[in-house]
Amino acid sequence: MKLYRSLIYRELKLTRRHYLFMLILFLLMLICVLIPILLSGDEEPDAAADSSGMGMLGLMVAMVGGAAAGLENDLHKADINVGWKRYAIVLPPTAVQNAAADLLVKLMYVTASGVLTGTFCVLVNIFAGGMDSLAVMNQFLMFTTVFFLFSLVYDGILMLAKNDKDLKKYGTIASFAVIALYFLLNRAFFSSGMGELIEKSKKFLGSMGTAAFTVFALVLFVCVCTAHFIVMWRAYERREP
Amino acid sequence: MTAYENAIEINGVTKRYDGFTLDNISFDVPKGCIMGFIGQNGAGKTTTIRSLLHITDIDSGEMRLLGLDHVRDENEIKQRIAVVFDELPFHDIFNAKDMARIFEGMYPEWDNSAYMQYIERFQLPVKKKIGQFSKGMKMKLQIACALSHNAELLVMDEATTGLDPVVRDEILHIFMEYLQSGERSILMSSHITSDLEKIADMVTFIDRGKVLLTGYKDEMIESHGILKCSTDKIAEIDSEDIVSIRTNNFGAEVMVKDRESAAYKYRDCVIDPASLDDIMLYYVHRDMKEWS
Repeated sequence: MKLYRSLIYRELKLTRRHYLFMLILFLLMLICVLIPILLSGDEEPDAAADSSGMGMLGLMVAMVGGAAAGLENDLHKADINVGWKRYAIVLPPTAVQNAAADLLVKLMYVTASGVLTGTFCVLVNIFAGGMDSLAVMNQFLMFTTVFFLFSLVYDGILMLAKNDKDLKKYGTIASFAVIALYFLLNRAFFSSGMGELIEKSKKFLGSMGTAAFTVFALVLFVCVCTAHFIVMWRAYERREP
Repeated sequence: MTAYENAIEINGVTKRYDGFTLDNISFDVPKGCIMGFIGQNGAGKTTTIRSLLHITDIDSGEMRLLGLDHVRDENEIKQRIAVVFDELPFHDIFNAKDMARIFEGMYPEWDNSAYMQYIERFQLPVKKKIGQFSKGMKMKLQIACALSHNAELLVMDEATTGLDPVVRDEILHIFMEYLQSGERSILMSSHITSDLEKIADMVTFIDRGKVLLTGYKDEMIESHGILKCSTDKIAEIDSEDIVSIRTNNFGAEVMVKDRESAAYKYRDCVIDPASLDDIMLYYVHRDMKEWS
């Protein structure tokens, strides 16, 4: 326990600036969104417009919250640059313990962002109503998973690269893969026309407010967290050439 | 805890890189000893130390620290050794107090009062960020961290390089104190041989990936000598006795392996004692035989 306290203390100190910045941005955005809702509390609501507006608002909040929680914190790269990664090999914590501490720190910030997102939903429902809190929380989890996935790929590249040349090579491959994925998704979604796409999107967004989707999002999140843990574990275990 | 005679045992270790090979090196560091590990830049000191600490894998051979296998028993070894690198591997945003908090959970035998004593002794600020430290202060901090968990073996890679003589002397003095119990050992790589002449009990000399000499420092210094003669006289010297010859306008200086025997054989020549620096210099040029 004492060992994890040390590892987490180190990581929190090193990442707090990044996460505080992200959380403050997120908080500012929440405040900016909440103020008009609080001020327009007495106006006659238009049910249909209100529902879709709230849906979009929730999606936006979930996306920014997910980014604040899941975006890469660059700790691994900073450790490589300063020489800590090499030094860590001669320190008592094992690769598994280091990777577990990494994941725990990330989960702490996911929890913080999640709490903020949840509090926002509660406040909106108290003052204006019409927000599907479960859908927003599921969206938050999905966005966090997606950003976690990007972070995982980035850490994987750092792990595979033996030098700066490798880093550039793998970075370029990953960038092309993202562009290719974008075109593939674009083709798949827009091939059937805009009307059908809107219908599909509505259906998909509607399904996000169900308990089944929560289970799906949680399973996906756990899978990505496990993959992240394994990549970090391998990264800490890896020896220099 | 295993009983051991040698704090470090390196047997036939080979590690191949493109353009450099650590070639079948072997040497031991007996318990309670300070071993100076010398050689010019790129000789293989850092590769040997990184292999020993399992920062890099070796191709063949065996390495043991504190009687334990350097890979299989890695976790136990790490709790009982301390390492000091040439550059401080701590992030700039931390201060000395932060480092204590980080290390106290990692090492079961971390001694906070010993750490604070070192910090006080080195006159390091507790709350100032490491990024604002001078090179000397950074090295002192790294050494304070290394000495505060009762490590049985201290491994240092060029730890005194780039420090001024006053700081170096202070640090060497601390190492000597650290060894007083006789239970601790130090492996110290450096190309500043004057430091090692002050404190090392033993010396291992590595060049181009091969161990050329290993043994007790005093014996090594006593056995070698620099024979001074005219250039015409060189032909009379037995090639078996010669390490290499340095020529200049005034004559030749010949490094001989056995000073006593050379003094007997070449009575008309002056033989000066050799320093570690001289030994290193003449051995590095051993293939050229004559150099200036």
